[in-house]
Amino acid sequence: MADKSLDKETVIAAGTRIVGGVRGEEDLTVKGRIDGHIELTETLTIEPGGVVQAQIEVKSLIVNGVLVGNARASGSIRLGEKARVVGDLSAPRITVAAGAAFRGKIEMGEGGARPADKQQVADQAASAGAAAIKLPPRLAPPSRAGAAPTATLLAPRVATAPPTRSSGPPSLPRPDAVGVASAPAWSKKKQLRRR
Amino acid sequence: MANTSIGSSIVIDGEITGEEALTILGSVKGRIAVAQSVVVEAGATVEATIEAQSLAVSGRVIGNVVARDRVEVRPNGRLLGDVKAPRIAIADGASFKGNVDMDV
Amino acid sequence: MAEKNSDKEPCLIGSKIAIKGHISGSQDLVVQGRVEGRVELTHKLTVDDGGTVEADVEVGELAVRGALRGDMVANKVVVLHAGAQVAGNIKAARVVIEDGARYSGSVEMDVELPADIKAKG
Repeated sequence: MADKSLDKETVIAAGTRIVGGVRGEEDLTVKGRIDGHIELTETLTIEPGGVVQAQIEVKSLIVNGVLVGNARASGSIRLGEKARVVGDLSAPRITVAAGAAFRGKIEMGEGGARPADKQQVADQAASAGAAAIKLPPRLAPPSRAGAAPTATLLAPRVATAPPTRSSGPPSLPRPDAVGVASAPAWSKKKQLRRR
Repeated sequence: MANTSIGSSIVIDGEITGEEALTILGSVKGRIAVAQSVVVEAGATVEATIEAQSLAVSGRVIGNVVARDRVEVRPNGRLLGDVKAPRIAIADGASFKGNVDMDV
Repeated sequence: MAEKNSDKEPCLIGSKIAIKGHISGSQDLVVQGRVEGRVELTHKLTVDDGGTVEADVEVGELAVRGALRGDMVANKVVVLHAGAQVAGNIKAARVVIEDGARYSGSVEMDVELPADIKAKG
């Protein structure tokens, strides 16, 4: 029964549920359910049938089940074809397979995805808010009013607007104002131009 | 493999419930309530109330235990807490402190 | 490339062409140059490698290998291929982001969740 592979892999079986915090330095596979928060230095895999409702901070994340919550990976996030995900994702590399269903933000920080030592995670946290996407010169986003504070990356903010929005009085009835509410900060440029 | 296994570097703070057997090599704090067996392996630390079909302890457990079938504290296992179960086995070399209630 | 409607050639905006304004139509469009403004198509928009679109886009289908900035709405599918540089919000029935694509923004698809899970949002 207790073979050595048990030592290397943690599995939450279907029918098992954890409510609370899980952290560790090894891979974790979820076929059951976890509600709370998960912090791993390795890979979290949510299998078909698995349900995770949690804030997640891991090296890499593979989703083929259900995930509700914000996830940050120092390496990569992959939403497989069976993934059902609602939440904000942040990682240097993010892929979404055909068939995956997703609602939320995607932030890919500056490249150079490397397994995290703590400092790097902190650096990424700081820069992840700055939407470091490389665009051709004329597309370069205007400098941001201020990067979102690190803490907000972990806070549930699926429905909340980024703290950087606030160009112009909110009472101004602009037709696109509602749709823009949760847009990245560079869309401010657009609003200004349209005025 | 259908069972739940908590690896040696994993720390859980909260509640584990389920239908499946549970093997713990890491650390669990809070509450455990499962329909089948719980095995606390050597090196594992559990600080939780435990409800299970059976419990086998080779690591360390602090907390009260209710088992529907049996509780076994194996050699080198340590259990600190009150135990309620129809059958209880404490091996030579195990340590145990707490009340025992075998009355069914 | 394997275009489905070979009888209907896609409209091509070549690499030396820049268009500013509103483009609408019911034909596939391939952008290798530069488009700024707004694009509304019933069919497919392809932004090729080297192409740049800075526009809100409302199309049947969208495939990006170049650069796009703007909000995207697609009836069917949005595919961000490897090499794509995309920023903006996406609303589509299906969204695919390949490894090597760089994207930042919000994605909105229908997500069916188990009954006992409530998504905040």
